[in-house]
Amino acid sequence: MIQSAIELKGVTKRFNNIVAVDCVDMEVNHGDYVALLGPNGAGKTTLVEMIEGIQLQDSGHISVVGKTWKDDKDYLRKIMGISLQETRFTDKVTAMETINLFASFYNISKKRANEILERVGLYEKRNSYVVNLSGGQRQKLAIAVALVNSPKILLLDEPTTGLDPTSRREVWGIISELKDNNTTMILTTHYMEEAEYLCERIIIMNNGRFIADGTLDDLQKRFSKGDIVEFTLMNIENTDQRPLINNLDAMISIKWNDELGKGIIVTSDSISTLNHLLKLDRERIIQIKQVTSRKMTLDDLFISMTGRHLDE
Amino acid sequence: MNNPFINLFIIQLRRFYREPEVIFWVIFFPIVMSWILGVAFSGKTVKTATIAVVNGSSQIDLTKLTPSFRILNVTEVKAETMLKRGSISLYIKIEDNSIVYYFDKNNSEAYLAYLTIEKLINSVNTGAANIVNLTGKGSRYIDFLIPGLISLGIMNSCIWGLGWGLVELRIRKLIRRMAATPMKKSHFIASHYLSRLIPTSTEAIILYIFAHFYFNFELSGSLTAFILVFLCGNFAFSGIAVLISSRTDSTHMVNGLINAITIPLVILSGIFFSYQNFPPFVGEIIKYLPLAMLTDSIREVFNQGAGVRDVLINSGVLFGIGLIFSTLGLKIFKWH
Repeated sequence: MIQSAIELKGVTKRFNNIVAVDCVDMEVNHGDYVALLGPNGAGKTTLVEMIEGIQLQDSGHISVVGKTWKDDKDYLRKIMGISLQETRFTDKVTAMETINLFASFYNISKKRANEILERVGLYEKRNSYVVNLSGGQRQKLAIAVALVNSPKILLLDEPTTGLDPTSRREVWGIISELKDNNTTMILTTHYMEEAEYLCERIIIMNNGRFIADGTLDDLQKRFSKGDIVEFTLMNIENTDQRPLINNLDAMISIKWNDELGKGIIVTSDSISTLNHLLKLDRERIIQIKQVTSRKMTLDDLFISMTGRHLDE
Repeated sequence: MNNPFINLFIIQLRRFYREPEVIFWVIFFPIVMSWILGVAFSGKTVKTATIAVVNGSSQIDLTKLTPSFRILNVTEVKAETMLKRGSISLYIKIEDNSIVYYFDKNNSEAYLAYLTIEKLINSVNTGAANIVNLTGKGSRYIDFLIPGLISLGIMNSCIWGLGWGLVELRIRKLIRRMAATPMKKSHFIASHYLSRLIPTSTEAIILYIFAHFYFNFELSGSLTAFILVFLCGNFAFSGIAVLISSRTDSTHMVNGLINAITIPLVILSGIFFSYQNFPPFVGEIIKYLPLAMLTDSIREVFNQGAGVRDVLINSGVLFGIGLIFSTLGLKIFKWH
């Protein structure tokens, strides 16, 4: 039997009275790219840091390539590449020197620094002090440091949080290029597009638990049966109209956003639902200001499961 | 070759010499401090006290006072104001050919001025007083001060530099990032201890060179003894710094802790003035404080010609302090 790259069984972690990670089971195969998607405080970082051996679980079992932190910490440190949330490297040290320092911990020669700087597109900036790098460049440096030992297991905690869209795309490019190297990766993020773009498998996490797990297709087939129809009404204050819309054709569920007077309908057949909705408008039963129809996204899925947005 | 220990050591050095303000604290500050204190207390300039005289145009010959005092003839109101402002500590008033002194008896400077004036006015010839001016090497105030400043520099550089530095690395989450690699923790700590020697020895050498050429300050004892006590002092204060910074990730906290430890040490340990001025039983306790032990030994080496044997006990105790504090600090050190 081929061992999983990462295996978690009943892993729980508490901070005082708060359960950060609640009896989580997970199995990641070699070469998989897994996204842990969830809002702030979902427990993503705690979970990843337990896999990294930085935090110790209160109960449950964690093994990485069949080894545990208790028995094989030296080996595990050698094969892991990690990027923590918000690491700030020393200001007046250059990008090259920073990578050399970390390379030396793995007994890797200085030649590697040039190679890795080229790979993340920082070669031109190799002699710049960390303090003079932009946010995106610093994040690339953090990824370069994570890659310095050609890790078998790569754990990236929110690698693009706070970056502008261009830098984010660049970081995505670097990460997706690694796929050829048989690296296993777990990435935490609260950007749905990031999870979709980089990972085949997506685990949605909320309040310390996994609430959905599968490929994007799986998740959409299983959870987002159908499409979304969003509409706003002319008289936002008038909530009397709402019961009139409760029973449209093909409608699965409806949620109201009171502030915007917006209704969000999940439907199995958007055309039937739209027709029915517009018929009510023609008959002057309701007055529609705006209506749109689209495919369901993971964010919709998340809202329908938790009532919260992913990036809250 | 890409040696982790050398890399860690060099990174510390870079942090040090790439910060221009460090040059100020390590090079200029000690020189300026020793210069000001040395000049103020060791009589490089002629000290002339100023006194005020009311009703000065009398028969009493005040010219006898002139080399020692600068005399201002003023009204009594003006003299009182000057006294209150602190520009003079004493004024005299001539009444019926006698002198009335106005000053605070508890002010030793004023009292000394009073005694001097009395003597100058009343004796026809003070003659060649039997005063031996102790300006020989090793007995001047500057000889007392420079070893104190070297010792202070070691403490400050170790506690602030190392203690603060470690907390900063923790706040930046760099300690936790490094601890997640195969880096040896002993390399990490040893590189910090060793790299502290660069600023502390630079500061000591610069202070010595300045004092040597400006004040004719000299090392009368053994250089080996100095190096021994210097290294043990560095180790002691590095250990204290590690314990201070072992858990905290707040700059306010580390600031408070460092001040709470260094300020009493500076006040008590006889850096600027001898702790023998404290009551004897207090002095007995003070002499075992790490900063006092370091300062006393450095003074012995510089001024009393001490050799390795003379500083062995203090060096041993300082080394022990370093060992105990380092062990404790590393035991509770927060890597993650």
